[in-house]
Amino acid sequence: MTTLAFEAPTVQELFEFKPIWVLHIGSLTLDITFPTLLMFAVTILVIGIFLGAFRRPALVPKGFQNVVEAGTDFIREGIAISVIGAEGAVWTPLLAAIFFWILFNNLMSIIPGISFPVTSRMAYPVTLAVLVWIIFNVVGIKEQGFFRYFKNIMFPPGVPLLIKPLLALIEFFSTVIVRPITLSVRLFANMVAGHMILGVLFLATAVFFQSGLGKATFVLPFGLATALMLLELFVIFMQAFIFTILTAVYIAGALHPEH
Amino acid sequence: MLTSVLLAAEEDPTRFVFPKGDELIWGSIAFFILFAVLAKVAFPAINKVLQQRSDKIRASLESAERAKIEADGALDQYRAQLADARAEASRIIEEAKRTAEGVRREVEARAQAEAQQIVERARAEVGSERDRAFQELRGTVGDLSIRLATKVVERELADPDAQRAFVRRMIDELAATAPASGNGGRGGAA
Repeated sequence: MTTLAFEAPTVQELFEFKPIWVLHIGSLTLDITFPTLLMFAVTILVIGIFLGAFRRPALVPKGFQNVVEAGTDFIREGIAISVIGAEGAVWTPLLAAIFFWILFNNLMSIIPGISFPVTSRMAYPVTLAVLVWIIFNVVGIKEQGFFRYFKNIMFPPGVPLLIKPLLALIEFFSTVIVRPITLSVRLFANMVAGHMILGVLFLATAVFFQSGLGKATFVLPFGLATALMLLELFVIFMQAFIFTILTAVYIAGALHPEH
Repeated sequence: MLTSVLLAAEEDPTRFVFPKGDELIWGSIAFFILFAVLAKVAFPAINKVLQQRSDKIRASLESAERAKIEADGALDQYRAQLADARAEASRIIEEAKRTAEGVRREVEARAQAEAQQIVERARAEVGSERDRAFQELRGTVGDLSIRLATKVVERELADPDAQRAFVRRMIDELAATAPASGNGGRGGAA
């Protein structure tokens, strides 16, 4: 009777990819890895979905257009207008791009044959978090003026004089420094954790299936992995939603400091 | 390579938590392309069709409201016409009833009058017939009596005319006394 030893995959095995191509642009060298290709494929997929649904939109929507309209309506009504207000509708394209880009990159985590969440590569959440950081700061400065914006951030009304200096430091730190970090780390950590757990369980399923312990032993890790895939599906949607709604909250705060 | 700039230690097992410069660039490019397509192509189309749909729905609602007002007006008009028609029908029925009652009374009165006339005529005819029969009977009885009396007493009576006058007088007397004796109640000499 032969037995196979189960060894959990390393972080490098799960998240590190060797370059498929290396581009040299002047003095700049850019690697193209599997996650990079996957991210571009997802981007093209999202563009394709929107163009497919709205290239020649029907007055009475049906089928595919109906589904995509429901998605954009959720972003417009459920996030943009409900969080920012009536003027939030102009932010719908940005919020929709963020939501659907994160959503489909996350979904790669549970697509058989791919099983890799693009957003578990830290650069992609960071890209979006930095973009959001730039946007809400620019909006705040443009709407309120540079000094008034930072004054409103650091000195909220109704605070006792003695606490003001400490609170000003905390508020500045939390708004200007912590926000992009929490935005990106939250998304990244959730997708990394999900991918690691699913990776380990599916690997265990394969190992137990081939081991001499009896083929039925694979049922436990396989069942767990299947159940966790459902949980992962929930996390995928939830993380896309959280990132998007926080973006809307930050923009709303920059537009309406009184709130 | 940009990656080496951002990574603190190439062989550090925790290096995957640091963003790679290559991916930051690729991610930025991809997201900006996505945002540009959505903002410049997809969402204008969405907004346009939403506006058209909104206009269409508003126009349809206004049209439906107008149609409803017209329908309500027509319904009120029909109801009024129906009420008028019912009142007219009731009036015609009442009038017909009154006319029928008048006709019935007239026919009944006429029938009663005719019946009365028929009865009166019948009575008159019956009386006339009875009188005529009585006259005939009286003549016949007189003749028969005379003939019988003549045959009985012709041998003894020398004057037949005087006898005949006597008999007739007797008959008249007999006739005058007839009601008392129950022969039809008729009085007077013939």
